[in-house]
Amino acid sequence: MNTKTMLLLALLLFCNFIAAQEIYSIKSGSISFFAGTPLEDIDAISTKVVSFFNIKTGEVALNTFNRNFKFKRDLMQEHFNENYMESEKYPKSEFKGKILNIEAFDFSKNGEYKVQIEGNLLIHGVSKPRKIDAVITNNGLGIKVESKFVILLADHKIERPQIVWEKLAENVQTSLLLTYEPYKK
Amino acid sequence: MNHIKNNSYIVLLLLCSQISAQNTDTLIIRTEIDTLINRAKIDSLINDNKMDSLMNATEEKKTEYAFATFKGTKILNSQSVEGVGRGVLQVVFQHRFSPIDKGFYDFFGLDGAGIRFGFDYGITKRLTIGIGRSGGGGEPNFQKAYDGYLKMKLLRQSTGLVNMPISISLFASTAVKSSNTFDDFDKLPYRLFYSTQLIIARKFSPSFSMQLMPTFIHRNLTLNSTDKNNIFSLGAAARYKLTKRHGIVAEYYYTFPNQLDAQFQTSVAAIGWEIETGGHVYHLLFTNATGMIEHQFIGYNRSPFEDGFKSIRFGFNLSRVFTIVRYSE
Repeated sequence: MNTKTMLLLALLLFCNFIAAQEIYSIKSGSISFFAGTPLEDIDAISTKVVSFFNIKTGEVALNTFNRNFKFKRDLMQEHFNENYMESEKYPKSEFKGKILNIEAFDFSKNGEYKVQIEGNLLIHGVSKPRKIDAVITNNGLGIKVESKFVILLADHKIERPQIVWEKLAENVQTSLLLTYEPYKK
Repeated sequence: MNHIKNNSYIVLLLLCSQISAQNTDTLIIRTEIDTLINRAKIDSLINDNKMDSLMNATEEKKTEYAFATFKGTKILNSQSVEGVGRGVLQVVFQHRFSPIDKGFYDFFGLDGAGIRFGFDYGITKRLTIGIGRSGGGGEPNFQKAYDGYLKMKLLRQSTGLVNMPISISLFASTAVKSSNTFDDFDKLPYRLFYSTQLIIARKFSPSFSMQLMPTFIHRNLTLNSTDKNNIFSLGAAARYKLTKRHGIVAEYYYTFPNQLDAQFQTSVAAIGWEIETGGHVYHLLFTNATGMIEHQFIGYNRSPFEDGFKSIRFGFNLSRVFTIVRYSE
């Protein structure tokens, strides 16, 4: 092997390394929501979340299969998939967005950053532009993203018939807790 | 020299094992994420920095089980492939009225009513047990009985890692007749009826489901020698959902010939409208059967279709579920 090829190889390897460092993939994550009323608690959590986060460009994308939301009552879970989310037609819920004013933040340094993410929230096949507040923390071990926001069922054309006995709230309180690490091949 | 080489191998091995031990944590998490993403695809895309293509490469490697093949545990008269959820108690009220042919005189049969009320409980996701009591007034066709059953899901329809085209449940029930119609029936063993069904179902689409019910019924005592103790019957049922909460359901049973006495019918049918309102399932139906448990509506049906309106009865099923035990995962 001559020096030229060696250099080229080294360069290639180096490039690879840098690119991979920009993109963070999810290490563990949860999406939970509360759609209950004082009469009935309707809450669920999905821990099977897929997400990527580009710390340089500020792009964030995440999704989860609706079928992964676990409820405390089996029948409620069935109704969630069958009647509200129509999971056979629309299997995934997702969010794609970009952190606003990304130049002001360097997430590779330790610290806590309050950011706004502008993007599209796709639930029940209906996409809705959203601006979501989030707190991003780098504690040296990884990057943590936390956010709480409200989803209006009407925004995503999820019907809430009056005859239904399960008292479902119009506003769904949603929380995200996601931890990321640099994606390793 | 060889000796030293061997030593260095051991040191290398030890080092390697330590490295892998340190990485166990991330490895476990990786495997969970690996069930969610197609790693080979992501690896090839990661350098492009394109979020969209990365997200599109995510896919979940798991088995998706069909759910809500039927809304309730009952089709109309018959049992469906479904059980109630774990820790859920279901209360069922069923009514079958007199034939509709007399019009306003007895308000299309509503003056005579057969009733069954029952309780069903989900012990596990697969096993449901239930008890019920049938009775009624207005005509002798409404028999009194107590019944108990268990229903076990043997197979679940699924796609993904496991491809299974059908769901199968086993249904077994025992009923004790409590009417005092015949003297012969006064001893307990003579009043017992056993029904066993294999319920084979498929959800073809979110709105269309079907099931087949090969049925075996054993009666300890029958009316006469032409009325056999063991009877075989085949049932079929289908559901078509018109909207998310409304659907049309129908079922039909054919009992193979030379098993029932001539006064009993080999064909039993029911057609109904299903309404589901989150916790409640309602069925409004028309049928030629009086009974609401298997040995009654299959083996004890005196209404031939040739009689027209005289054979048709209006009825309804009403169920409500209550969560008794809650499970957090």
